[in-house]
Amino acid sequence: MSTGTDRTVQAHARGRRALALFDELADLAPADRAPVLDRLKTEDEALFAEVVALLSADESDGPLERPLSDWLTAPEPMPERLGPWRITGVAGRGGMGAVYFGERDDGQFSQRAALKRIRLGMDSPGLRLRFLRERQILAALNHPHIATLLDGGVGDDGAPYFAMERVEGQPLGRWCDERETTLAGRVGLMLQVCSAVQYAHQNLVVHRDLKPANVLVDAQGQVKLLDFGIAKLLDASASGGTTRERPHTPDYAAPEQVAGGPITTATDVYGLGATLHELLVGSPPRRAGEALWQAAQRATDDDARRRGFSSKVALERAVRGDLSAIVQRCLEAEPNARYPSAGAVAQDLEAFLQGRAVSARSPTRGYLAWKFVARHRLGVAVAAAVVLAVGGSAASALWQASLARRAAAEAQAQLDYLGSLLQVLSPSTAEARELDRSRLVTEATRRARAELADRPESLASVEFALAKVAQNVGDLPQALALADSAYERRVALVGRDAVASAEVQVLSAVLRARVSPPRFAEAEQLMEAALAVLRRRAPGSVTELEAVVQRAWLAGEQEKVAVEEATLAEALARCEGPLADTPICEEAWLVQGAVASRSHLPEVALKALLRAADAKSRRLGPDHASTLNVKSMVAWAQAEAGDLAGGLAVADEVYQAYQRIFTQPTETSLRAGLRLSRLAKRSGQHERALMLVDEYLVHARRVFGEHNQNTVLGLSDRASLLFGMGRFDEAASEFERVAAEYAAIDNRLNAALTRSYAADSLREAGQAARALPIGTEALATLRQSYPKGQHVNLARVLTNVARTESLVGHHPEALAHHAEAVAMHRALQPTSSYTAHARAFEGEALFAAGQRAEGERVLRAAVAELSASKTASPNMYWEPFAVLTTVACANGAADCDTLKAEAKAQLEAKLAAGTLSRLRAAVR
Amino acid sequence: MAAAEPSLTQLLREARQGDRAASEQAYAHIYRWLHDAARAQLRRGAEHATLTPTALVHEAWLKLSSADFEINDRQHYLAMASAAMRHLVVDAARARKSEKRGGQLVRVTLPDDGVPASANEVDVLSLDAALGQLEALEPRLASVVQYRFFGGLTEVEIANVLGTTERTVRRDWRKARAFLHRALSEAA
Repeated sequence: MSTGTDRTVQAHARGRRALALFDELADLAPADRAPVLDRLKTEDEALFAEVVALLSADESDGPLERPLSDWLTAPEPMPERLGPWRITGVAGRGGMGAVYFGERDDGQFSQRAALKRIRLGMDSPGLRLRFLRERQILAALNHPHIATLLDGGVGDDGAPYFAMERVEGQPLGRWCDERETTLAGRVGLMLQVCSAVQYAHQNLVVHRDLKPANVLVDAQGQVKLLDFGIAKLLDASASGGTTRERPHTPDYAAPEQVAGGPITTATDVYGLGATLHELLVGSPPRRAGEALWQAAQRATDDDARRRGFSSKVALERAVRGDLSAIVQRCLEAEPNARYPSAGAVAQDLEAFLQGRAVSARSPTRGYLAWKFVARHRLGVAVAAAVVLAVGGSAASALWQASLARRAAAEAQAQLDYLGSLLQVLSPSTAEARELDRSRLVTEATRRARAELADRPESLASVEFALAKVAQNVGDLPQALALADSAYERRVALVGRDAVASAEVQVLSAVLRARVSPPRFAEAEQLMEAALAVLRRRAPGSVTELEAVVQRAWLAGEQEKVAVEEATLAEALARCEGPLADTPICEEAWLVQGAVASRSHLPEVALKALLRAADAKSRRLGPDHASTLNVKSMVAWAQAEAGDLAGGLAVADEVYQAYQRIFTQPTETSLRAGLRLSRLAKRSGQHERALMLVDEYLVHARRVFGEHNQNTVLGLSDRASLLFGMGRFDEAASEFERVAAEYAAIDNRLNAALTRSYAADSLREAGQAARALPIGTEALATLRQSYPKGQHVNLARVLTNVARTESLVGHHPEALAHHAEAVAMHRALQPTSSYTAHARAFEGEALFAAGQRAEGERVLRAAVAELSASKTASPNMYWEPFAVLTTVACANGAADCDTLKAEAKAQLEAKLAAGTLSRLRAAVR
Repeated sequence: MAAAEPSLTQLLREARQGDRAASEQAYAHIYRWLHDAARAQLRRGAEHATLTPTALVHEAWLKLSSADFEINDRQHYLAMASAAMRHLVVDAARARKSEKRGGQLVRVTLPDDGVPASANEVDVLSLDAALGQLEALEPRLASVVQYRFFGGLTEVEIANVLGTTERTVRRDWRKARAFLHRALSEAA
């Protein structure tokens, strides 16, 4: 103990002396210090060392120059919740935010996640919409080496958060160093990273921030990539107004990233190279042009030992050649000079592991021959004799063959990459219309045209595939240009009369009908030509069937009902055969459902939609967004077909599924919520319907914005609900608001319709005099808006205006309008209950105008006709019934008491407020 | 605040007369005030927080002292406030370090943390440790660092508190700075 204390005392004494000497020397010029220091060095070497260290510390900047604020980053208080996640702890903090651990528990599952909150405001609805869409795409990434994005949203404070799969692992570099992983082992891990990156690229997601710290490895040696695509979300929000400089990771950032150039998949190829660089030699790339083996000279012997080498010289030797070439090709400053894909990087890494030729090295004869020797050490002794015998020619042939094989492999890789773009945009991600994605398609096209210029067959296939991708991302002009180009190429190769050309032509036709403005004439011409070829060359094939379904769709778009029905019938017949299980039949049934419900054939529509839903559920799973969307349509069709309770149950089920699966609303889930609200309303569950529509509005305002038509749709539903609930004053003002929204976006038709509803609300609120001019004006606008002068909406408005006129005593006008409405309904759909409904109110008007007996007769006939749809549309029956009861009793009819009793029995039923008040009036 | 609570000036005066309780109470008072003010400032600034100790310490004095202070009270206060600032920074770093513990198994990174997120906390704690070494060696040098770096006092103020000249303060700072930079670069 005492010696320890002595040593401390000694050290203190030396420390004090060193400080004193420093004080003496500090102000001297270096030349004047030298003699003192020289003397000190011989006298007391330890003291000398300390003084020198102090003098050099004096000259350099140190931590005390940093302001105190740098030392203190404010720890944000840990939130209790983020969205549905309960926060359980802090994983780490960084300059841009914090990472927390979280759990979610909804009674059935409990899920753990790492939650990342980023200190950025997302203030505009547009940004938020983009964020939510992007998040949906990221969440769809499903790969064993990608940490799944579970959820993400924007917190109350406007800061976005992400919930990621919680990975138990270590960062790539540390994992390898602790286990002293060999170079081959490290390259093996990079192969996993490449496969994850390749998969993401095929889904049009670029990581943008690949670096060793973003790669975790678990105890089993399985790699997980973190933060896929998140850098882009940050960029998206930054470019939307935040001027703050974005911190990036310069060591791993590609030159185009630093320069603010376009980010493509090549950016990630650079990131792969930088990661590989650090993994192999212990440091990220430093200077442009410095080769990997040169960087290896900066490694320590320790670094080398951790990679299984005796010294850094051995490490340097090992990374010369193939590995240096691979890293260098990844790190090329010019994006086009890099590997075309992560898959191509993986191929070279695999080739390295197997001792085969890597594409990154220039195929010099010596290199390939050396590779060959290395791979076939045993056989070479024999082969050498042959080479000697036939001179250079065999060696030359060997080289040629290898070159050809390499070219073929690369072309295949190219095709795999571009061709796979075809499948990547699944239905659930197709809603994402992203500028960046169409730029990615443009980039892929440019590359394909450059690299496949001498392989027109491959190029045509790639263009065809890219056309479909462009269509999926909503870039229709680009899709059309690609399809046309692919078509021309195939025609040049195989002529017009070939399946390969015709299948492209079908797509060209569809795209022509979808661009704005639609080019229907061209579309139809191309479609007919393509179908003719396919009928001749590929009868009974899926390709032909696809063309048939598309033809039906095309006819429907142009309202060519006869062609549509005939073509659809053909497609449906085909879907009863061996092709029943192909996805195109799902589309056929969906078209059938749409056609049937338009033609008021709810049973047929229901059956078709059920088949589509069933097929989708089998193919994609019951909870897939696409399946749920069709199911939600099924619910509606079921209600239309008369099974309101059943439809409501299905809609409820879909709604619950959306709530369970998606923690944030999507466009389709919102639509499903609105459908459920409407079904609840029709089932008389007004309070629930109102709650649902209010919920819809909250999300719609956030996702779509205030003046978006989807939001207005919700407002309009809400107004109708208020009307149904008898809150007529509120309904009137809400309808006026909706009408103003429609007028603002120049939708005259909807504005007029909505104003007519406002007029109805006023009438029901007992303000018929105020309602009349509004209704009349709306009617005039509507007459102009429906060019044929006939429409079911026009007929309904006529009835409603007539009812108002009747109330204020304008009997002749009322009767004329009623007659016109009934005639219009009858002309449009002779069998529908709308005619009887309109007729009932005509009866009421006749009675009011003094034709008491005729009025009663008309009412009785109408009510008798309506009784068939009593359960499906109860309000459409009971309101006329109430009117009939009042009129019949006023006329002193014999069955007055029976009618009253029947009306009385309905007073407790779930009916619209207007209907109930009429029933109450009738029984008094 | 309860009316009966003695003012900081009063506490400081009692402390100078040897009242330990008063001294501790004064210190706690200062610490709490600086703590809250620093937090508020960092929260407000969010990203570009400029935590200037000078402003904080002087603002605290204006808020806490009563008008009847003597010059000695103020110097006593400045010494205490500097110590409080040092402890505040160190406590915050420790708190964050312990919060992080247990999170070591799982590392989830943010896009900008090429620098380990914990670098700052380590620095504060090693600076505190190095300052402890300097204290053992030359207590006055350590005080100068505490006043200047943590308390944000000017050379004049430090000279007044320590009862020396400005020149001495400057020379002390230079020695202390060299010592600490060296100690920290060794630690790293």
